Amino acid sequence: MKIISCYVENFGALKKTEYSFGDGVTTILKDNGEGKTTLAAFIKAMLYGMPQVRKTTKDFNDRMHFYPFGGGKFGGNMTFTAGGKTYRVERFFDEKSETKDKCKIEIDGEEKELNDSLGKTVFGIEAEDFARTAFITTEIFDGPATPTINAKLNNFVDDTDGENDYEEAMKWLGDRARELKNAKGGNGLIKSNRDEKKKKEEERENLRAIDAQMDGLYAKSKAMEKEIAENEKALAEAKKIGERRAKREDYKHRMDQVKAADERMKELSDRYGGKIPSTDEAAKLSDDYGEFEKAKREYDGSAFPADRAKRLEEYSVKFSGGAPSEEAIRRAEQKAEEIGVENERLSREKDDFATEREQALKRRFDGRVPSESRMAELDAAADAYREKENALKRSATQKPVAVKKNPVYAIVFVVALIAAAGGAGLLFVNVAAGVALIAVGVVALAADGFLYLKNSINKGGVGEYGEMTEELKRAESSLRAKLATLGADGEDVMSDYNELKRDVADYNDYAARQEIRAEKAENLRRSISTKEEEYKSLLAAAHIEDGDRKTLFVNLRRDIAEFNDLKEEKKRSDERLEAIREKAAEYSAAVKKFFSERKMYVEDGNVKARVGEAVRDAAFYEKYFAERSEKYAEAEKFKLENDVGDEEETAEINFDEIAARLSALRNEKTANDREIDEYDRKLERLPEVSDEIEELDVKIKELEAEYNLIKTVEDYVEKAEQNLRNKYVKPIRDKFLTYAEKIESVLGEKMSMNKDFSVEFERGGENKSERHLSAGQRSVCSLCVRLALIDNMYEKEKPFVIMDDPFVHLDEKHFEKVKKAVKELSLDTQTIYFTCHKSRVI
Amino acid sequence: MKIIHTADIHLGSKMESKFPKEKADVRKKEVRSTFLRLIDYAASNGVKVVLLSGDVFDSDRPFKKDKEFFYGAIRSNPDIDFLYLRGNHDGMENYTTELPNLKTFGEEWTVYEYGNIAIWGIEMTGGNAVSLYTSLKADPDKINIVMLHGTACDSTGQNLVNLVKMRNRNVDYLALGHIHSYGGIKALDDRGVWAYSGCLEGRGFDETGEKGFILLDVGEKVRGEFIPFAKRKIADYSVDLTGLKDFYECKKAVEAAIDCSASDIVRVVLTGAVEFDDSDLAEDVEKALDGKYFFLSAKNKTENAVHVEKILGEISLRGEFARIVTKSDMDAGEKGKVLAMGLKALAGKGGDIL
Repeated sequence: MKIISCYVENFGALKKTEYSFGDGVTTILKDNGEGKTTLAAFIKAMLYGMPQVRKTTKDFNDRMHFYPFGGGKFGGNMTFTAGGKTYRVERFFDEKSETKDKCKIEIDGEEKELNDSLGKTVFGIEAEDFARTAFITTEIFDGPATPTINAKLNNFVDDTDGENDYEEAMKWLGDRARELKNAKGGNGLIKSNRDEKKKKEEERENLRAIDAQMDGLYAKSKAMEKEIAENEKALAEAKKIGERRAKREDYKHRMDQVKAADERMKELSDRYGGKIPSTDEAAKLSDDYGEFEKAKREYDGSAFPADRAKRLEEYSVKFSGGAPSEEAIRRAEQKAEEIGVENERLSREKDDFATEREQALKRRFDGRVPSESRMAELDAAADAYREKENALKRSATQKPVAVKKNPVYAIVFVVALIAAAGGAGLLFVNVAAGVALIAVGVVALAADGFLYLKNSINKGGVGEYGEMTEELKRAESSLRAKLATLGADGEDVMSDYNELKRDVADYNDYAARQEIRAEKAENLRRSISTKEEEYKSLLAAAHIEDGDRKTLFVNLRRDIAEFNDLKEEKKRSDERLEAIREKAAEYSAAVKKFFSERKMYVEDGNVKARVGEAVRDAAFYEKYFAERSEKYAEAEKFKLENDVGDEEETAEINFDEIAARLSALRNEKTANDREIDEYDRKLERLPEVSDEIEELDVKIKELEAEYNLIKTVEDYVEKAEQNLRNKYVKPIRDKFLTYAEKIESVLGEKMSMNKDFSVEFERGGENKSERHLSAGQRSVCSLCVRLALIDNMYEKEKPFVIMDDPFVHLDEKHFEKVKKAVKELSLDTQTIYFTCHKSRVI
Repeated sequence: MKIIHTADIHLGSKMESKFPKEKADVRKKEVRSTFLRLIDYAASNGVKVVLLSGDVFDSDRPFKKDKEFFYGAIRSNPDIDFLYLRGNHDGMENYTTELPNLKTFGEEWTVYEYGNIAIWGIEMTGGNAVSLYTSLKADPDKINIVMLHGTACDSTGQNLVNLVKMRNRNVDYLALGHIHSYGGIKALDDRGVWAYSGCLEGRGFDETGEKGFILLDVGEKVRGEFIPFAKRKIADYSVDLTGLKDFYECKKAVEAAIDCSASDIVRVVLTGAVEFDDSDLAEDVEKALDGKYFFLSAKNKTENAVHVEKILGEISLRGEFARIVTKSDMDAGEKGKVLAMGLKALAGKGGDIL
């Protein structure tokens, strides 16, 4: 095969670049980064395409690596010859998907569809084989530090990166085989699983042994259950007997309590002559006695009060003749009033000198009142005087004035008189009013008389004046003398006269009235005396002692009323006391009857205590009775409910023995059941263990199968390795020797290759390892080996060789030798040689 | 009258071996609690009779605690009659406690009558397995319910219920136990129907699907309704992961395949040829879905896809290995295994041979 040209549209760093290639070595001098490796990848991509980008793709594959980020169509074309035909391939790649790539292949100008890739069609080998044979990089020709050529050759015939994948594979298989089955120690997974299985089988056997015991344990449990049931039955029966006994004892005890109550009740009853009172009777007794006591206290507290009794006694004495009737009192009272009125009147008649004037007149004239003759003389003298005086006056041009009688004096006199008389009459009715009216009448009379007299005196006549005056003086002396004898000795004789005249008149009037009064008083005294007699008769008849008549009747009436009240009160008191006494007697009789009926003698002082005892005893008796009744009822109910039969004649039952036996059986059964439970728990494992054994069986078989498989695989790998060596190593060695011979002059050594691809050279009759060669010699050896591989591996068409600056380690001297050797070796194989330095241009 | 038809409680049974111990213990408790819930359901829905068509216990000699549990539950519900017919698992000596509301059966037909309803039952033995059909004398004028424990089929034998022979024997409802899945109520003949109630709770991945009981409403006819009642559903899925290239895709495929709630128990069998190597795929799936369900078990039956045709032409050790294995006389399965392991070995640590 020979590449003629290629055009890179866009591929990594290469853009729109065209390359032409000649026979032999085509050197492409480019600086690093200018696309040497890219072009190599492009050539491979043109032949084999590129793997697509997967989501899981971890490595940065060629499609990703060379995708032009600047855009544009990704790919190009290449023209080459092979097998006498001219191929033109044009490929444009998708960013990720292989199926979206576009590929156009022309063979001898005719477009063709190929089943396989173009590279496979042309070379008969896969892309990876092509890559590892046709691409020669510097790594292949590394210096002394690199792995041996031998190892590299082995890598060429398998595609691992390790030094020896056969050994790696065999080691891996051996390790796994040993993991499964360790021949020396006998250990390994298979054995450990077998051991585990054995343990499980032992466990299963143990469980089966336990399982075999289970029937016995269940049978034992059942037997014990039966025995327990029998013992329980016996114990139950014994218990029933015991219970019946206990019940009978219980019943008996209950009846004993009834009897005890009976005895207590009898004892109590005997105290009451067999007639123990009921609580009602006792209560009645207590009530009766209480009532008796109460009546007694009431009687004592209800006696007529002593002060009242004394008062009553006094009144009884006072009114021993009987209390005066109201009528009698009223009559006496009326009589007393009449006496009173008359005494009043009498007193008024006695005491007529009520005024000072009257008193004065009385003192002046009593027993010395001028006689009428003297008064006449005096009058005459007065008249004479008045006459003289009047005459004198008249003589002094004055005529005498006629004096008319005034009727008013008469009217006043009459009215005053009536008033005085009315007042006297009124005294019988109302003393005060009577006295007042009399006084008014008397005063009026006195005034009237005075005024009348005065008026009368003023009436006189006058004479000749001189004479008359003398006469007047004489008359005056005469008059004065007369007046003097009568005790009047004033300056104005007429005034004295008039005054005397009036006084005498007044005194006379008074004296006249006094006389009338005396008569009246006498009459009144007589009347009073009569009435006093009558009054006394009335009092005597009414057994009334006289007293102060103003209060006598009021007090009498009050006393009579109180006397009557006391008598009534006393009567009611007596009645009440009698009633209380009767009641007390009644209750006392009831109490006595209570005790007498029971033939109980009770001293008076003990009644209260015995009554209390009776109440208590009755309560106790009733309590005892109730208790007795209750206990009796309970006992009867107990008897009824518990079927308390008659005494049973049974053999003595040893409950404890049965119970102990039962307890032992139960414990034994519990232990047995516990054992069953425990075994049950263990036996739950039995099916699991069986399953586990089955699983282990399966697992062991799987492991054994895997072991056998490993052994089979080991055999096949070993056989493959032998085949590979037999099939490829000799031809490769032969070709290597052919190429080595060609360049022997360049290398200066006679090279040879062993079966395991180890390269040796002969020096001094002795084969030495290629390790003793120089780096340049080793590089050229490597090229020979590569070419030998190509010759053997490519069935159809030998490919070109792309050398990507592999001789960077060589110095100028060695490079010159290598260059020569490469040219020699490239005579039959197109070599595209990339280098970045002109010193290494071939 | 309402009657519950249930069977195959399997008290004391072991649980699926894949369950972790704590989950297995929970499930054992749930088997018991579901039975109690059934009784509560009966009590609160006016159910008078509960038919227990065999295998109440998982063993002829049940664990003591299971017997105490069962008889305690019966004793505590005296208003409900429990008609307990023993099955093939609990055929011996399980009637250890006599209770007024616990009705049992024997090797001859026993009938319990509830008005016009007659409930028949017989415990199948080698001796009566053939004759039991002709010895059933059900009154045609009554509603006849027959309890049996066995597999419905058209042949005769112990633990086999010959439906053909059961026809035209005035059976209105044939209440079967033994098969742990409800399969519908099916016609027996012109008159009657038959059904398995299935078990109440699934115990492992061989007892998947809805579990519950059949509620019978018996009037002039028998009407049955399946009542899903299990605490949890057990589901078993086979998920083909062929062509999937990484664990993420596998996880998504598994999640998409499972139609279960968080309380359910799930097993996923991973099959197919995957395009990547993950020897711990099952464990990885379990970890990834941990907590999403009550329990999830994954089983890896996948194979690594070996595109051997790609490497047959390789001039390499693995190419040569592939060639000689392919040409060997091993069967295809064996070849696949050898190729898978050999290529894995030749890929080295972390090597990608594909």
